[in-house]
Amino acid sequence: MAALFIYLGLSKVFHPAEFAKSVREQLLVAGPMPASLVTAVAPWLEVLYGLWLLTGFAREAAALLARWWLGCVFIFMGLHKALPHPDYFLKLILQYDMVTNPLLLNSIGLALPWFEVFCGLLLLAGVAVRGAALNIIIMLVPFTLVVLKRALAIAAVSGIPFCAVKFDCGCGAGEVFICHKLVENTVLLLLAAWLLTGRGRQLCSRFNLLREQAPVLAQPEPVIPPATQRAR
Amino acid sequence: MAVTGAALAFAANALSPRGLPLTKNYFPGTVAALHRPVIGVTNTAGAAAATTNSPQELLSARLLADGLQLANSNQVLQLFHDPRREQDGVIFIDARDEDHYRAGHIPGAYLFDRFHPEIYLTNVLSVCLTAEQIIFYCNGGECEDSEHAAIMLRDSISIPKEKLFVYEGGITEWATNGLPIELGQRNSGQFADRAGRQKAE
Repeated sequence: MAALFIYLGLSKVFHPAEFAKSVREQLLVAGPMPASLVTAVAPWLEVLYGLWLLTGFAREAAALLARWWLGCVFIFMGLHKALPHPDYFLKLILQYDMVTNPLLLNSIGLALPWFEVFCGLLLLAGVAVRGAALNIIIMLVPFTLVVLKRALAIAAVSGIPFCAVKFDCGCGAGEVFICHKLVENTVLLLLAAWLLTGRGRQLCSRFNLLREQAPVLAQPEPVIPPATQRAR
Repeated sequence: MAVTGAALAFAANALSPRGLPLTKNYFPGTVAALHRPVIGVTNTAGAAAATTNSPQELLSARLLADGLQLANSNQVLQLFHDPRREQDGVIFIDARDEDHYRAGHIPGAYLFDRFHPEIYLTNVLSVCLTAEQIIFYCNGGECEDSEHAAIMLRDSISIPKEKLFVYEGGITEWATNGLPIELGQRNSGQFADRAGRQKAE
């Protein structure tokens, strides 16, 4: 996971134009100053985070950042699909040739973005963290597979190299290069799996949704007063 | 938790100003997804197979199956210069959303965002009933909004299918051909020049 973070950061450092475009168009950072600031700083933060994970130092704090980051990503991706043009997301789902029933298609297209926001909010607030992480994994695995399948089909028919395939996968980040998207999804999956193991408990409102069972304490041994001991 | 999340998600969609109704069929007609080609390619069987269909052929066959007619750039240009257009005898309908419409549309075109017919149907209802020829367009290429909008209007207000045309190249081809692009609202009098900059007429 650390290596993937470093890879993601460095790929943005070495392709600044591509990243700057996505900052302007997807993150909607309009001003030139804030946009260049985000473009310059964000990739290095990813690299630093990767290095931090490599050192193994303060893992709980790293897991807390992972939880917040994952939550923010899902809130952003969900809102990006749900608010400006939910119809556009519907069209993208249709392109995967998996769902043709209008009711099912609408259910996925209309509810899924808000469900992502819901999971993101839970992670951010630290409520039912493992459940939210599990839901994210359940969403991410099939989506990653269908995105991969579609990219393979595009690469096969167009004859371009796999990593040169670029399309809007409906992930909420616009048009992306498929290899980069797969790495990103792998990172998200690994982060969710990390949280699923019980990490990221710091600053949680309620890590477990259901009340944790009180640990069964061992019966304390009766304390015998010293006077009684002496009498014996 | 998943059930709660799903319930909240449906509730959020219902409350959202951009929410869409669950039961509506947004992709009517015979556009079965399995019949559509992979984006940007003409033959999903690969280069070895020889049965390549052009995108125009595929689109034309699909429109024909839906009872619609395909219009190429020459036909569209002819209809644009048709004197009947002045009296709404020939009308253009932009099937994209309002943001794209405002960013540039065929001069005099009516806006009909089929995802929000409750807002835009009144825009086009009366003119569609009286027009002799109606040309729908969207971005062109893989965009299917124009044909879905045509099918929706055909089915909902019973417009005879002979009146309906779909401009295959869409606004992209229109702009590429250097034809006038109107900005903002319908008949705003503001046009984009060839470089895409705004100019007043």
